[in-house]
Amino acid sequence: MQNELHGGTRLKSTSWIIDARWYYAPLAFFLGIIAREDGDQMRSLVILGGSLFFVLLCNIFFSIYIRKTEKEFPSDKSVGTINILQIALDLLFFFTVMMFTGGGVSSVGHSFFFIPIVVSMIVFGFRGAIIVAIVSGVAVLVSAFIHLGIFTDLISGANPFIISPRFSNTLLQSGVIFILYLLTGFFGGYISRLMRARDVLLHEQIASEEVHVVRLEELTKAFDQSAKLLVRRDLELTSANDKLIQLDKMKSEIISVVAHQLRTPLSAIKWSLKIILDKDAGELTPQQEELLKKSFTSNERMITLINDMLAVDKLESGKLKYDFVVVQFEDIVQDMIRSLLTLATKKNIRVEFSSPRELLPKIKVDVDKLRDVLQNLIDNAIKYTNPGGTVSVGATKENDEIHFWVKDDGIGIPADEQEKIFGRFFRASNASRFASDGSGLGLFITQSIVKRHGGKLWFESKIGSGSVFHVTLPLS
Amino acid sequence: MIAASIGVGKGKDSHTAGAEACTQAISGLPKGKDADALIVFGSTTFDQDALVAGVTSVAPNAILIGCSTAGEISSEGFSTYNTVVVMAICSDQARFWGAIGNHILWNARLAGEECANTLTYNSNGYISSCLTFLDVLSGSGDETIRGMTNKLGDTFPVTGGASGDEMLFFETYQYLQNKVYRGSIVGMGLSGDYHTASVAMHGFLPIGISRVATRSEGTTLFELDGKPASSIYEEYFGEDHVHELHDGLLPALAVAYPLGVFTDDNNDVVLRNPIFVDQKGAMTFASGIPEKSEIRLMISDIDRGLETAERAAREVLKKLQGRTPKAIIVVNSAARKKMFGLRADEEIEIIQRIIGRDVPIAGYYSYAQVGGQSGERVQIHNGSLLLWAIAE
Repeated sequence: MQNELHGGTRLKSTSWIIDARWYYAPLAFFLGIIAREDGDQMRSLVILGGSLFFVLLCNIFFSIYIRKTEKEFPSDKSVGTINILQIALDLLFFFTVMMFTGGGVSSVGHSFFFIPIVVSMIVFGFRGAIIVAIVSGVAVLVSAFIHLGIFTDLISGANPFIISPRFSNTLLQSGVIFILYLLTGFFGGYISRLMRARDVLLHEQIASEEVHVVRLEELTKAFDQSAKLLVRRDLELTSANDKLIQLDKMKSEIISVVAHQLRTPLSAIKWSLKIILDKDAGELTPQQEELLKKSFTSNERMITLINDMLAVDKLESGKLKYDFVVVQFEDIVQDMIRSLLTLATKKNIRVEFSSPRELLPKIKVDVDKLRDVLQNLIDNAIKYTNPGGTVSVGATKENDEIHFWVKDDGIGIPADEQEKIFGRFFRASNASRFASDGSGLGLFITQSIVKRHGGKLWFESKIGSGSVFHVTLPLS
Repeated sequence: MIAASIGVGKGKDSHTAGAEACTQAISGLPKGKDADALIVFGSTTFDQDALVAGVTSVAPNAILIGCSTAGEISSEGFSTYNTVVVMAICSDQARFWGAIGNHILWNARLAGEECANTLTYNSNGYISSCLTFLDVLSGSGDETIRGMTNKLGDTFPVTGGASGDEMLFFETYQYLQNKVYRGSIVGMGLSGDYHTASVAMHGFLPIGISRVATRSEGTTLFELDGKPASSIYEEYFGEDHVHELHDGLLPALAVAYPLGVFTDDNNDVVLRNPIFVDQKGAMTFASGIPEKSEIRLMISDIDRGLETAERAAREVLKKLQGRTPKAIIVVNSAARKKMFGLRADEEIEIIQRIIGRDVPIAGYYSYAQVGGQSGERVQIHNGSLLLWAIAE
């Protein structure tokens, strides 16, 4: 148990006892002076004073030693030695006080022996307390016998005192004091044992908590390290993002400038070709007419592309104004199908509109922008469907939304390209082969408009089987 | 009746861009109605005087207030660059008027008080809320706003933000009527029969270990844990960015990672972005950081940012108690702009989805946001999305 006591606590207890001695030693001295025996007063004063001086000198030594060694974590053995010396010093001092204050049981000095018993209980525990209690009891008995002259009688061979009533009384009183010492040592030792057990438990808990604290500190450090890595990674991504924004801005500016610069000459070419094709500038041979018609169609495609590019620029720069009005959705769809019917008929494609059984609730939309959405989706379906195919268009009310879809049995979109389909200037590889015209901007514009209406645009597609494009628009 | 409309101007000619934006905004107002108030947010890439002159040339009689930005926001084109966004408001039941407080550099509190005094003086005895835009680069934003609330009251609904300069942190501009000011605070008072609601929210979370502000004076934080304040950014950003930190680019770099200030007397974390860093590592903020407060680096992501936008929009509607908003002003944080990058439009889309697609929105990315806090006392903060709505 002794070894289990935490070194720091032992040192603290030793220190505390040294400090306490500054008070109880002079107190014992003064009580000794007051209660000293009649007789040679000077002699007892000198011996008691000398004893106190010696005790205080020793205490200075203990104090210096402890202060000096506490920083160097002294061993249990050296602290134990100091404690033995301290208790021995106390026992000796109190024995001296007892000797000069009447000796044995009639002296007030025997009550001081409770101090070393308590001290040993604190620093040595149960066993130490019992040993010091026995030593104290013996000291009281010896002091009493000396005072009664028993030892002198024994040495001189005089009539033994043993059988006298005074001897038996002294023995009895000493015995009672001895038992009191033992009881103090026993109960004190018991309490000390309990306290030590609790102390050990507490220290075990502290040690275990310390392990946790160390682990927690390590984890916090690791967490901070991870946080730093995370921030650095995030910073890299933010920088990359900034660069992308710059590139995007540059691209938009270039597109805007190029589109504006190209539109005027392209329009001039268009009208020149038209004048020639209308034979306003003279007759044409059939071969010339065919070549010029091809040129006219190609020029038209380029103008469409430029217009799409400008639409995107308008969309992104905030120049596109939206004007929301309440309309009947099916009417716009039917109008749009009607306007695209010529194109479908030309390709021998059937366009079906499955109108809802009940009238759809009115919806607040920008009519012109929504027309662009419908035109893009239905036009794409017709464009990428083989002659003889069917394009189905439908609309219905679902919860608080209008769901509109365009289904075709055309070429479909390759699975690995489906993610990019709403990006700017993107055309699926099979779409480019199937129809050479198309800017790759239609679906981007469509998605932007649908988003601006608070709706969603998505599709399902299988290569070779066709695609279904869905649009939902919120009613509220 | 309260009606509002938005116009966006862009191009190389500042006067034309301003005039175009204002014309567009006014054309969206009900027929025959002139603008009573114009709220203007312009890029610093424009000649500021020419820009404001362009706007006022179209509506010379309207009250004009606004500021330069670190990016503009509008419901027509969402987040845009190098543009001017004009919101025109007309109403026969609300009154608008403007005021200014100058010289924030000399005495920030006095500038705030001057603006509030003029607002009160011109109010004809009744003022119920105000919008304000101020410079935080030349002086303490906290002090300027305190100056305002000293005169108007601690709980007076002051909403607005700090002007920006495209993340250069050099010089910002404030607009009032046909003039452009520097180092000033401008305010627009409102009175009459109307309702406003303002909400500010941020979606940032603390990251890494906490540090303690060991030395702080005014709006300058000198030390964290006994080390130069900028060490927090140096440690997190790493060796690769140390030169940028020391070249005075820290504010632009750190804007996406505000510092979270946790104090004992406030349960909610307040965000702070540095606007200036000196060679010794002391950082200056728009608002002071108290000593002994716990400081942590804050981080967020796009999903959380979008979630914040949704919550803020819903909270605005809740505060309006069923009234339909007629116009929304967004004072967004430059931190969020940096975080969202190319996806900046998405948060405006979310706000529109919740508030209504036909409600005009004008706004800008700012260096600090004023008001909209959860408590009653007007606060200046960073990293937040601030929505201000007006309804009948």
